[in-house]
Amino acid sequence: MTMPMTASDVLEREFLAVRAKLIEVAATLDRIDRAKDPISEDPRLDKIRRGLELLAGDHKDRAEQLQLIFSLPYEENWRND
Amino acid sequence: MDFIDPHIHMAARTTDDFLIMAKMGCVMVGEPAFWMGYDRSGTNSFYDYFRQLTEWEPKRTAAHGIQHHCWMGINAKEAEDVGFSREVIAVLPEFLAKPSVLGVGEIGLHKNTPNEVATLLGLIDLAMKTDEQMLFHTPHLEDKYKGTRMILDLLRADSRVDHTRVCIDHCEEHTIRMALDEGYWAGITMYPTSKATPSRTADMVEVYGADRILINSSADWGPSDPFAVPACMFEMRRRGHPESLIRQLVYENPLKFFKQSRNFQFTPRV
Repeated sequence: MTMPMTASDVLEREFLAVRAKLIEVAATLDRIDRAKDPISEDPRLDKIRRGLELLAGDHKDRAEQLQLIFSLPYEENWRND
Repeated sequence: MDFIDPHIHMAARTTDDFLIMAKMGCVMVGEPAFWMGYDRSGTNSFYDYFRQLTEWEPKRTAAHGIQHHCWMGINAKEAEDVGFSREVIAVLPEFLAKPSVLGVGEIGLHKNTPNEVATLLGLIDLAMKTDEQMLFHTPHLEDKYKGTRMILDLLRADSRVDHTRVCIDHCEEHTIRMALDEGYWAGITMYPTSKATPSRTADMVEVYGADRILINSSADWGPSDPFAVPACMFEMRRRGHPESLIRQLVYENPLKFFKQSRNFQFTPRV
């Protein structure tokens, strides 16, 4: 199925929304850094960092790949456990 | 444009929501049995809830010109106690015979535990023995990918299951392809902070097409939006998609899926 809008149209429409979401993420990470009792290691922060690295790349399926970063692994033989 | 919300928990919503939905063009809802926010203490509590869905809710919606159908089942959040679940499963056949019931649902997995799987197998077996359609809840957040694949494994192992009479619901970007590739209907739920949004739902329709897609609000007692389906319709119009595609998604597809249930009846507006 084709996307009726041009890439330029999509960017024009979504730029400010994306900007706001990215700033919200940045401010949240700053807030975690400023808070008492710093976190040295937390798997959730690692997933956030991996997610941000993914967004900076040129994947064509970023949403799907980001979902998988935040997913528990599936094991083929789960019924034998 | 008339639309159908094929998955919404109106028992947890107000009559005012019905009124606004009706004004927006909603003509029918599908209401799966689910978890009411607390664990029920006995089979009689389920029995009364099933009566509410089959007797009271159709009257409440009819007052606003909305036709009501429902699904009977045990949500995965209450499926951990296998013995209790068996008692509830035993009362389901009485309700599956009611005129507004579409099949067994919503059933599925929550934390993907062996006990949830045991209860789910009992529900699938009931559906197969009574020739019912099935509506599957897939887990939330980090459990979704694993749980969805487990559900598909269970269905694939049962040769009695007709994939065209099953909806795998709450699909997102990482699970929708596997549901569609195996011939199931794929539900997409739009929530404010989890599951999908109207924009991402429109994205998935653009990537995978509209065939066998059911979009819904799954609005319940938690953060949710009973007007999510018209919000997605609006988003698709803003993107320039034709009315015919939107109508297929929010009207023709739910009708096509629901019509496969023997109890389904629908009177279109004239």
